[in-house]
Amino acid sequence: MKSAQSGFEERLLPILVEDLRERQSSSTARPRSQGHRGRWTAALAAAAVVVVVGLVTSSGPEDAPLTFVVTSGAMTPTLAVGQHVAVDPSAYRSAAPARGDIIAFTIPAYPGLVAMKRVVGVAGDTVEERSGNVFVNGRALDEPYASLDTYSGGPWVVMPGSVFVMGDNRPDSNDSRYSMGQIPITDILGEVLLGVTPEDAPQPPPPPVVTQSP
Amino acid sequence: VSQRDDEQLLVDARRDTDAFEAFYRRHVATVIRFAARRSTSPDEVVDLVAAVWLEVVASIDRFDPKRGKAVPWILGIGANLCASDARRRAREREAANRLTGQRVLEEDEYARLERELDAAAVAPQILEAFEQLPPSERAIAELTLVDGLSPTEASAALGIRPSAARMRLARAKRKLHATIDWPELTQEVSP
Repeated sequence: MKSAQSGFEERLLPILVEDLRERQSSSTARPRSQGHRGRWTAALAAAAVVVVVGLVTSSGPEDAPLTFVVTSGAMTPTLAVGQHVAVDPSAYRSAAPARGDIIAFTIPAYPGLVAMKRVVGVAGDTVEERSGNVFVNGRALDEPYASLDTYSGGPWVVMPGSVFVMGDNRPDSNDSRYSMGQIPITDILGEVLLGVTPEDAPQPPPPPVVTQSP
Repeated sequence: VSQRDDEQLLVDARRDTDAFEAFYRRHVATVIRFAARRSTSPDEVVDLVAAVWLEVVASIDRFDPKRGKAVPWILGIGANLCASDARRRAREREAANRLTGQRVLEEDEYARLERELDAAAVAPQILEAFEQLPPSERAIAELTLVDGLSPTEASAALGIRPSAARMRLARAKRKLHATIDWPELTQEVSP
């Protein structure tokens, strides 16, 4: 308290109050947390598809992990075909996806499919691949998790509200380098929880949901 | 003025700038300590404190007292900001621009922030070990092991499920253990 009576905190306060006033005048009826809602719409749409197909029983309370079975080899060696994985739908409620995260997301062009890829770039980053080596903002990534290819492409600038994803199995992955493009954050279902086995997750055994990357 | 609790104050602050001011004065010192634990110079402390509060104002509608307490919530905002390099840089640039002209720290203020840094000092090898963690694990590990939130408070602060938080924390502790010899880490491993 004493320290708040002088110093930079006092100079910061009017700036914050100004922002607050601006919010009050411009957004008296702003819906809460639009991004969150967008993700839930996507999650519900995906859940609806699986329910229709009859492969999943009710998906439970809002924070329950979503469970999937990997059917594509695009994320090997990190995710093996046939592996059950849990996806945390609350992971990005207040945090943005970060580089290195593995995310599950829907692809509007392939209704009902859920893809899983690694976030390589976030909004504002410049991503480039040179002979299989990936550079983000000019810095080479050390990627012990990936099996690399020899591709060269980019540079791509990651758009606001999007992430740039790649499969860990570079030679055999359709991802942001190709037709899949950058992934809008609103299409993200959640973070893939690595190392979550059925013993870790207090969940019934994962239902046999079939998902696949195109 | 009757003493409103933090949560009520933060809810009221959406429409009432006096409530915001009261909340800010009550907790700016906490945010300064939070920033000092993550900074190496007084200028960095100022940038990070300003960035966190700008983010707090931008997200103020999202605070939901049913989901947790106000102070963990603002520390969670700070941790999430620190977890995203790009967002943190953008906010700090904005803060620096808007504080322009008044940004030079007075000498006694500089000294005061240096004392904050000394008081908050975390051993360099521990900081370094935290830096090696992926952002999602780092945020939860720092909030609990450095800032002293309980795992439950920290999970609410970060908006993640307590079970996800415990898993990330356990993973983070395993990695921290591999890098540094830090006996306290073993004391509170969650089941």
